[in-house]
Amino acid sequence: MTASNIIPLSLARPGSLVRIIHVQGGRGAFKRLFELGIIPGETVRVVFNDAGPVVVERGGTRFAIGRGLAAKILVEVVG
Amino acid sequence: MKEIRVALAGPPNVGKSTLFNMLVGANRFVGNWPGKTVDKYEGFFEHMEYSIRVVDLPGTYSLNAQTEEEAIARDYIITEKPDVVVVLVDAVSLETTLYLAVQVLELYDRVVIAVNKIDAALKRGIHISTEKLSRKLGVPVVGISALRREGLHDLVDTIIRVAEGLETVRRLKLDYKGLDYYAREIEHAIKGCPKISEYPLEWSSMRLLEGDAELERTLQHYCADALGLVEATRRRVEEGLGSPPSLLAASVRYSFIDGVVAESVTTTGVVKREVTERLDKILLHPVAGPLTNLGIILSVLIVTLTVNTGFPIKQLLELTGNSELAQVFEKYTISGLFSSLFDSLSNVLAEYLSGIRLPAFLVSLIVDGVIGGVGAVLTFLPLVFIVSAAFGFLEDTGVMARIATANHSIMRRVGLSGKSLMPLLLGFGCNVPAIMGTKILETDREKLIASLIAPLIPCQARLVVLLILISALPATPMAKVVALVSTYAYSLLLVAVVARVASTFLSHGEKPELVLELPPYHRPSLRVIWWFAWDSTLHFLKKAGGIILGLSVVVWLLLHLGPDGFTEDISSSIAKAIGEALTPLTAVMGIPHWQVALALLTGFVAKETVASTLTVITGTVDPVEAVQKLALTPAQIASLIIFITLYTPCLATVATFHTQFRRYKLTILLIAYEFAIATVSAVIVYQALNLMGF
Repeated sequence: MTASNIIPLSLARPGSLVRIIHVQGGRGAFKRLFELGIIPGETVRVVFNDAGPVVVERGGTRFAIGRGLAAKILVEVVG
Repeated sequence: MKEIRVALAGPPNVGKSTLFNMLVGANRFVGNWPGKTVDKYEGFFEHMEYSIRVVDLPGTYSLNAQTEEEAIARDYIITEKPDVVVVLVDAVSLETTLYLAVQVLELYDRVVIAVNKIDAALKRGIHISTEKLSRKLGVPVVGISALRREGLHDLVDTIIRVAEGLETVRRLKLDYKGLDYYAREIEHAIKGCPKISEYPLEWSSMRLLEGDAELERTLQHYCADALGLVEATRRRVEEGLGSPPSLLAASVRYSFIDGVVAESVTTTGVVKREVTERLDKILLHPVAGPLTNLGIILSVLIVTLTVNTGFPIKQLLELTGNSELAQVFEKYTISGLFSSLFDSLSNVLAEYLSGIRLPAFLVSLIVDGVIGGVGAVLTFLPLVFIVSAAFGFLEDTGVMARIATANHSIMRRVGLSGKSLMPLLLGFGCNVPAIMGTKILETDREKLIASLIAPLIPCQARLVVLLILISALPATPMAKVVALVSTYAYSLLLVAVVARVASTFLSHGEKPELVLELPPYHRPSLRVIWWFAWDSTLHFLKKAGGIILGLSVVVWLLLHLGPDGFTEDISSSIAKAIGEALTPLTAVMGIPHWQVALALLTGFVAKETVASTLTVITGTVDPVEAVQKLALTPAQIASLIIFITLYTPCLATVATFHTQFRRYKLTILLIAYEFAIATVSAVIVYQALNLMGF
């Protein structure tokens, strides 16, 4: 794995499978992310990533994540 | 009969209100949590020799007390110590929904886990072993389908057995590894601190480490020294372990959940959810999404409002020259039928009361004051019901979450979230359901901002008055359209400006970040929607109804009492005196007419009353004629148009706002700020147009 594989979630291509590597933050809206299981180590599928919020799917549940937050979630593309 | 107190907890979208309503049926009550704006649902049912009282806790993803709802759920469990807490999880989305269950289990032991939608999961090839789940979680687990009433008997039996101590239950203790070491340091510091000791010690120390606003406030109040230590410890965790404690703790809980799920769930076949895939491709599309969503919102709004009052179809018919059709149409809308019913009712009553020689004063008080007030309350009920049903429908189908997502980027610019678009647009019809609709918003701050700005949106009652005033303008039809459009544009501009200012003050300019679950689409349950709409309507009737009725009677008294006692003539009433006293104020905006001041005063009851008051006091039959009789200049009319659009919201809106927040300061703020904005705007418009020679 090269370092170039690690990108912010906001730049991940729709349809790709990504593993969350690091989340830069721990308060406010980030806590909600953690509660919903968007945490390092988890793998999510990117469903939509266009102009609006990024939509990801994990364990049969879809989540919309604002672009500001998505830019602070570092992921590794795994598929 | 023995009473068992049950609290029902669960994250949003798991079918908690369905389960609650299925259990208690018609024996339910809606109220407010003490001191909060959140609705409280309570009910009871009987089973064998037990009377089981159920409290439906607000739907939350966790017990972190980040929102009012979470604080309520947590405080209820801790202070009320219910005999049993039932935590609902979703079989289709087990991992995410188990998070709350784990948090409850860390706090409390007398718990039953109900796995809902077990039938839907089975259809998708998801097999869940409740036995294995139960072994891992340490409390009984029951599979149910709330909507189909499957497994409910088993659930109730289990609740009784737990309440009677016939089941072994234990509080969950997770291994937080490195975090435990730091948590223990906090444990020492907070031991013996009053208030904090109401919670289990290791629970509150872990929560404090994660960062818990409510516990921190308590600590600040009682043991401020310990708070410094908590903050320092949190920083040490970040340095030592490389991540904030909130993330580390969530990771520990999720790895526990992953282990539980891996052991108790087997999946056969591929999980396919074509409907969700396909619909999301449209509703969340960057271009088609916002358009489709807007289409859905507008059709919902038009249908709900049209059925109720004819707006905006009636106005469209009038504009296209079908005024007769418009009349007929309006007559058969719900409020049309209501008002003709009330008209005939008050006529019959007036005749009867005069017949039994009741004094004219009492007849008028009963017929115009009381019956009029009751009519005002009742005409709102269908509107509240229909709007609640529409909102319930959008929430239950899963469409609302998409609307919130697709519109988030736009609404974020004024400091609001995408979800707020829906209630705000309702404001064009009526501000009352708009304010009630802000309940669907996520944070208290956002509920308040949206409720403060909603009354700036010109509702249909104001449109009626605007159209009359604009018709009285000596101008070309084109200029009239421009006047109407600019009035709306100006109000909407103010909505955006005030929203921004309010969010700067209330949240220090922090823009809401979206983290939203998009539940799978599903066919709505009519029964659930009915309950929701019915409860909201009853709640409105009980809470706002009294205020509206009371204020209507007060205004009646002002209009019918004068220096010589009861009077039929409005121009010898107290109201006229008040109108005259207010004239210096209206003179500031260029209109030194007591008639206008009085009309604006009655406009507080309902905005459309401005027109009828003007007709009565000028002795004319047509409101347009009334405006002309006052010989107002175009600058004066324009000033009036702006003032009426923006000034103090009507009585029903104020009552609804007050019931929602129940803080006099906020209610006064709403009235005062709108009054100030309206006055300033009207003065500017008048002076500008006057200078231009209009």
